[in-house]
Amino acid sequence: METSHQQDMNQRQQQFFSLYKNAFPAFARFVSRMGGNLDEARDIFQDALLAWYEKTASSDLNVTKSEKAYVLGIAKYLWIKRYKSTISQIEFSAGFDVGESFGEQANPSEQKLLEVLETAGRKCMELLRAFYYDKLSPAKLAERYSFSGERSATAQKYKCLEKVRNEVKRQSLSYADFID
Amino acid sequence: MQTSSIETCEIEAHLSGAQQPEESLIFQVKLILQPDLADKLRWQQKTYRLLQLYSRQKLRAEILDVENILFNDALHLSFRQKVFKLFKR
Repeated sequence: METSHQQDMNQRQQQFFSLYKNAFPAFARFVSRMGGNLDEARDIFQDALLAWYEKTASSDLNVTKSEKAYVLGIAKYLWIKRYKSTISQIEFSAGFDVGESFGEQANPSEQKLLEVLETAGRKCMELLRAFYYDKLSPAKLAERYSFSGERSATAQKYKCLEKVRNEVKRQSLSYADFID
Repeated sequence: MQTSSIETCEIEAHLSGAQQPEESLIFQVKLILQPDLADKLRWQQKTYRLLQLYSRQKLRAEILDVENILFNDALHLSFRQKVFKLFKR
């Protein structure tokens, strides 16, 4: 039987698939006209889908009526921001600002930590991802991970957060010792 | 909830700005008096950043899977042709 987690992932994949197929050709045309190449278009479009997901996962934005137009708007904004910063951004900035931290990559020590955390505590990382990034409610979290209820899900979330926090500290300190 | 979890919950509320002004003030005093709490706050802040990086990496991998299907699967030849044509010089 398919789990609710698997159902959520499949639904998300269908959304990405539909948005990619419908919005990417228009964005690629835009990039081509601006003198960019296919690799740049693909790279930026991935960021745009990420930004769209983060915006729609948070409860303060509902863009279901024109998702294609919204993703296209974000993609154009990000492309101009990255490659044509001298062009006036006024036309594209309204509603599409994805924040300064967006697009930041993990530095080498963070990447190392992420690998350790995934190996040592994948279940906790996935539970915390579901809560903090996918914005699942405690009720949905309880359903997905078979907890007895919302209180139990919330308690487990904090236990996981503590566990990961302690591991982050332990690994960070030993990594610092290693490179010193 | 366990005592340690209540503390973790308080740190989260402080970092997210969800505390009432008087709660925030009390918490700031606790931070001065309890170096261990300040230490936990620092690492919890780092943990949130790592969780965001982890989540974005996982989501990007899902997007790449979709991209690979569209750019490699025989079923989507017309999509590819339409896109490649745009970049022919």
